[in-house]
Amino acid sequence: MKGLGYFEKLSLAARWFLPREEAESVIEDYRDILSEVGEQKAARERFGAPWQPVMELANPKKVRRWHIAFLYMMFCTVFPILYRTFNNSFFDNEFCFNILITGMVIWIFWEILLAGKYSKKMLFLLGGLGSALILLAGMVMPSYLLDMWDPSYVIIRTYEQETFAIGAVVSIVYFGFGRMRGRKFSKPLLVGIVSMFTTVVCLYFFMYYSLYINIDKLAYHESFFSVCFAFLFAFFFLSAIASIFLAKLYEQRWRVVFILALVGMSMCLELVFLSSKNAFMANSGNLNLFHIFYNRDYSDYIFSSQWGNNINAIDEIFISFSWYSGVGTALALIGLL
Amino acid sequence: MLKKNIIKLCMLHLLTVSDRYGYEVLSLLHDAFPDTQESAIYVLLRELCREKYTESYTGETSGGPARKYYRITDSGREEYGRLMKIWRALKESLEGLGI
Repeated sequence: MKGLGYFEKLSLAARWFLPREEAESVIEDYRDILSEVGEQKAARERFGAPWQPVMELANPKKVRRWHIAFLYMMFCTVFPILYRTFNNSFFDNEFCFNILITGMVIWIFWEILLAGKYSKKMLFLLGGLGSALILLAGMVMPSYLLDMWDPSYVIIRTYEQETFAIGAVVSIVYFGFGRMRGRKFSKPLLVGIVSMFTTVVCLYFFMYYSLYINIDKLAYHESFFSVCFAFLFAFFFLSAIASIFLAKLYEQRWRVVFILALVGMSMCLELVFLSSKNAFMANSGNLNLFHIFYNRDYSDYIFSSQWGNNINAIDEIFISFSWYSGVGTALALIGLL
Repeated sequence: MLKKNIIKLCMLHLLTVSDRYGYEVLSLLHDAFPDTQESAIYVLLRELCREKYTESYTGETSGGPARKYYRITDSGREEYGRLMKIWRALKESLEGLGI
């Protein structure tokens, strides 16, 4: 930020605090005005700090709504890390985060629905989606409270995939859709979408390969793949964070990268989660994916005790994995609009 | 509120005389109201645009890049007339009080 001129800082502030069309118009106006003013010192004397002219134009309610949506998308991105960091030490179980998520779902959907930017038809659709989430939250909340009272009463638990889904939906609802139809993709956006999609697809097929084709050979390179997944997770995480900013500052279709990055993060964590499910195989913080599948007997694994069938356990895992990957891809496609 | 309406009146008046570009409007009004920041004057200019009292267009300049110009609309002329009426009534009231 230090290296940026007055106009560049004002432009960034306009893109952050104002709706897109208004931001473009304001930037165009100030480009003309500041070209007449000349020196940056003179601009600062006449207009104040670069963000000041923008803040005078910003609607406080709209800015608050954007900040709520932004914080929540950030939370959905950071949550898996928080969960893994605190789950085994500070919090006894994930219900604290789940209650927070439930409350925020209720709050954010009412905030966005009341924003007044959607047609009646779209409000009906979004209202249905929001109501479904609120009902789910209403059903889940007693379960969480019972969990606190007595863990044996737990009926419903949620994991990282749900936060991914919520973050993706928040992104789509906030940025809207339909307005980008027919518009060309910029080169950086195209590169971002293609590379993220390719990475996610490769990870998906790697999972298929691991489960059904060649688990033995891969098991011998477990530590190598552990490092790979850690780097991959970091790549997805940083991409998700960057894409939220890019979606707001430049083009809303960067949210496709955000959604796919969340899918990728969920995939990486699913692999970690699977590996840590069995107490005998879990080694806190380490990836032990292949231990689950290496022993063909599966008698020591929690999945076989739950489902009682070696083949069904793998199919169940893959179906679940495929389900949220498919949902994520569908949401990403909607995000292209 | 009173000062805001006065500045709006002045802005609309400037545009009834001729179309002007943004910097020109800000400079002229800042000279007339030096205690008002130009960014605040710009906010009023945008407000007039939002309320469809003015509209903008891109105009060519001799030997320079294209600029955004502002011109008054028909509804802007009506609003100008309304504000002028209020201003004249206020002026008469003040003169009646000996101010």
